[in-house]
Amino acid sequence: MYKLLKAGFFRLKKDIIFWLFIFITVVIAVFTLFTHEKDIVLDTIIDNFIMYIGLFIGIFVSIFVGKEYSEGIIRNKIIVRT
Amino acid sequence: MEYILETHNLEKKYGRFKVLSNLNMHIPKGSIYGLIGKNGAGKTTLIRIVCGLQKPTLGTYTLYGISNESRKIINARKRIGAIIESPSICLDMTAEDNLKEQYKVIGIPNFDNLHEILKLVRLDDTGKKTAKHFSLGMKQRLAIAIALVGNPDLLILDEPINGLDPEGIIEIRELILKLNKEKGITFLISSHYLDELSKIATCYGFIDKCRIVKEISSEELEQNFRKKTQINVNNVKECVKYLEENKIQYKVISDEIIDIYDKINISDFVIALSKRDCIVNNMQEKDESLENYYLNLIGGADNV
Repeated sequence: MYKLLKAGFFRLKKDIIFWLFIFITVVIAVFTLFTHEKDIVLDTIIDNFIMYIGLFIGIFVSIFVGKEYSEGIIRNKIIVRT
Repeated sequence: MEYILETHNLEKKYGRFKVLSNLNMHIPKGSIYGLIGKNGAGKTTLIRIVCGLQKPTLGTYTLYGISNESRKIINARKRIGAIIESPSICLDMTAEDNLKEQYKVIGIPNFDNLHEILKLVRLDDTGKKTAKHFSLGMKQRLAIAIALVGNPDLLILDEPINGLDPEGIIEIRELILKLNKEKGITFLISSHYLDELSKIATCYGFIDKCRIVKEISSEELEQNFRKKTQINVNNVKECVKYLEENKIQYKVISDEIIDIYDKINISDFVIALSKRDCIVNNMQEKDESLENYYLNLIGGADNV
């Protein structure tokens, strides 16, 4: 199981969409920080970010995991590690 | 003889539909085993069962002498590499990264053999090119490279040369022969290209109607091939009369061409025919091909 996780993280590091989404969330975070008025509470900021992060995680995970099945990489793993 | 893979009365059903029944197969160590059969004969199902992607309904198989009912079969499966249906590679990564991922999946901590394997399949100069820009032949070779990670003793290739150009086919063929000779890897190859298969395989298994109809080594097969002489004459009727009188086995192909299966004395034959006003235009000796043998075996006439 750890080996599969390691391989998964290795693939994650090489994934362009992963870095793209990380970049977008950071940009949104910085953008909201600067545009809000000064008396904003920490609570609302976190609420805002969690919404965006949830949205991007939803899109990203379905693409990332779906690719494993559509490209047949999962077969390699099952054969070696059943 | 030592067998790497044996199946005993293997059966697989999808609902009521039988895909495999009473299937017995034996793959000797160090051989290249060609699995031949029609579309839907059960080749891929058989391969998927051996790889552990599906479970057989009945029957057992042994890999390296370990039965599939034993828990140690997991260790045996680590010693096989397989390409099933399509090459399973990650298209967004380079050849090197694809191999690295497989190393991690298997759990080999260092990448010692990586460049050796890439060199073997001649993908060492691809650099930063991602797999989606590869040609089909390169993808196929990369898939073989991935299957080679972890030094397997048995490689299972399901239709490795489908859709390749002649050059690609030669490349794959040479790679298979090289691996078989240098590393002693046993191969199980399923393919529709009988001519190609007959150039490399040392053992054949013919699969039809859910079971192995015949297992035969290439030497036995060659002895089984009937030699035939194909002649082109201008008067088939007279020629047939002569052949009937001398009880020679023949088959009329068209109104000029006749195949003769017995050995004949050519000079006597030509002289006898010319006395009957029949001129032999040309004459060729031919080997029966694997294709003919296959069609004879599974009853080609029924399937036309």
